[in-house]
Amino acid sequence: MKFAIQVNANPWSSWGARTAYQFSRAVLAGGDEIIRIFFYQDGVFHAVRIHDMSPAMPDWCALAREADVELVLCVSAVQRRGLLGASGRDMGILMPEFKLGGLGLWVDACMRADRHMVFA
Amino acid sequence: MMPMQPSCLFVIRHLPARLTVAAEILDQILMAAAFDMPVSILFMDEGVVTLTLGQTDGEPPAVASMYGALAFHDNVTMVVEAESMHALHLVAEDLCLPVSVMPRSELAAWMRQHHILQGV
Repeated sequence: MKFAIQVNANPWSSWGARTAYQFSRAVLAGGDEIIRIFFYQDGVFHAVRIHDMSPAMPDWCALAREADVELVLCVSAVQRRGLLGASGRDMGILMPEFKLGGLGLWVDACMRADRHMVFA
Repeated sequence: MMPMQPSCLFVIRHLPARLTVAAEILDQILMAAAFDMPVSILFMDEGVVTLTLGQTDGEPPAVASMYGALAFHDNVTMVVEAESMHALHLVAEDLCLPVSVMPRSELAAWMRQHHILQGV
């Protein structure tokens, strides 16, 4: 089965993101496919580089490296939260495993997936 | 022959307290509509307030005006749960956009007609 996953939850005040991470791990462990993980609303904060990351926080970068899962940040949500510099310049606070993309990628994932899961 | 587009249902159950989030939900709806996906929006519980006229000036609030832009898409349907309107002592004339009113007893069957359900 193919899954499209959308993460709206921020990394620090909700269990939604942790659940999304564990769900994604379970999907891959079960032999199913994740088309894309799309980070929207406050979910884009998952891409912010944190040096003293708590073990309880989801390690999306490890997931992307191990399973070659595409991590996409909604560029407009990133800009609304001031995570990009003037004229969309990357200020080095976003981790390179996350790539910027538009909502078109979210629609594309929804159309190709058998199931679309939202974690808020 | 074009493949059938999946239909998408957004369930709005909360007050539009944060304009950023409200705008991001609307962005998603507009993007899905732009890709010719049949889109339905269900307003229930406190989410109905999104569509009410302003209490002081009788003008539609900013978020409702944004939903008004969806009128240009003929693949978008807006529905309000009847019981939520009654609970808030609202009638159809209190809403600033033309919507269908559906009783709770019919919602489950209607929701099952959609491929993608997103609660916000």
